Amino acid sequence: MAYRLQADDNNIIRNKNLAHTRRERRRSMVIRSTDIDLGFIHEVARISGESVKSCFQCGTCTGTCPSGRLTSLRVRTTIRKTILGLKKDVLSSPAIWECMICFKCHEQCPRGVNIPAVMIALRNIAVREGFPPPEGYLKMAKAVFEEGAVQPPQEVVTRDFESFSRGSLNLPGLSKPVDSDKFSKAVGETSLRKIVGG
Amino acid sequence: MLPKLDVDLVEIKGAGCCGFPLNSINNLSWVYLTARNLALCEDQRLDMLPLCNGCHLSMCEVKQTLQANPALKDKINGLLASEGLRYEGTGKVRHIIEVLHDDVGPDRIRTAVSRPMTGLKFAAHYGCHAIRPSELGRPDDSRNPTKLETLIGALGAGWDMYPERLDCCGAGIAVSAGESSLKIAGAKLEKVRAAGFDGMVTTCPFCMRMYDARQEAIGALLGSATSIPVFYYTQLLGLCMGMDEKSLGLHLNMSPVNEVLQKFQAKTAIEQPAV
Repeated sequence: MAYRLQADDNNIIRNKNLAHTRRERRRSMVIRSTDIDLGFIHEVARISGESVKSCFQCGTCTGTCPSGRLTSLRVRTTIRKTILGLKKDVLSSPAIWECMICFKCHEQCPRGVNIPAVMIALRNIAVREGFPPPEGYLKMAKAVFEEGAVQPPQEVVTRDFESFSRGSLNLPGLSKPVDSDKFSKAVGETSLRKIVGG
Repeated sequence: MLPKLDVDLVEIKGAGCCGFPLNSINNLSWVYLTARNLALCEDQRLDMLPLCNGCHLSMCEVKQTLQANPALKDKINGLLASEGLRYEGTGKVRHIIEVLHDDVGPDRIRTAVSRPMTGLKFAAHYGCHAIRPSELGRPDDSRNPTKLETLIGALGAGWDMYPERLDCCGAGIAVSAGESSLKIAGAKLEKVRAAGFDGMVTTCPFCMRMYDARQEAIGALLGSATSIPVFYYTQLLGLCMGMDEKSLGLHLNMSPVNEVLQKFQAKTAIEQPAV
């Protein structure tokens, strides 16, 4: 697009700046061959078991996404970038962690892509490639080693600010994994321990 | 109240977490944790009744995955062997809505109800994983589920459809985007309240946590009218069967359940002056 320069100096400067930022923006939108990982789409398809490539970009997923209304998650964009092989862009984005796995998009997808399964595959690859997951996930993984559950039993506080434990409610104590050493060893063998860093 | 309806409950000794959130960071550890619980259950030759929608989905999904992938099944069994466990895939996984609606049945519930909950109207909240993904065989239809409404009707209580009925509680992003997850839960609470329901009913503990335990935080964040009583379906069932509030844990609900309890008590006091 050509810019008509005005006789006014100020306008010349302003329009030059405008042209400059436009050029910059266009440059940033260019996908360079060095950003592309051709194997990425196959990796995602293999791990998720989904034919991600069958997506024809209708955008129904983004339209039905209850999370995307409030977060940075744009499902169609994420899927498109995955298909293009923009591995680093996708894996470093907080968007892949903002999917609620509610399956609304999956129910509506005319191509039958199980998008939550794709999101989970992307998260698994991200963790494996060293992109850190939100802190809460690591806390839950740690709790599995220590208590055998992502959330150990807690005391509850009522709306009248009384607190109760399971015992004081006459509930049986929760049984822990039979042998926590064996349990921990087996869970460790699933390479979860490496992620937690224990 | 389940034993009173001839559903016997047995605790699974040594059960751990289903590991659903870990699926996001390490797929194999999730399969292992869920398969471990299923193996423990198979060991006792019982059907599994996970109360949470997420756990139910987890177990159904892992069952399907391991059936389709024998190599993975062998690997998991190798890990389970250290505890002397073995996963075969013979046990069934049941959902509380399924058990109450399909096994016990609304008729049986109707006869078990001694104090019907007439004059109160509830909004049913299924929770995503009770109805989606449909191809995995969920307890109810993904587009037009009706079982929870039928069950509410069996208590003598009223129910109604509302546009946000099948919406998510937002718990899925409580870890990664806490504020957004509260806003998503709040949006539904606002609508349920504005639609004139006396309360909201769910069966899923994770949805319950969002709508009940986090309700005060949601109200503070949104600054709008979101306060509405939230119950487990089983709590209402117990009340109607004449069980006392304490044994149903109604003092532990964080939402303003007293509004409903008072209306219910006042009503039954008039109808049954002898009690």
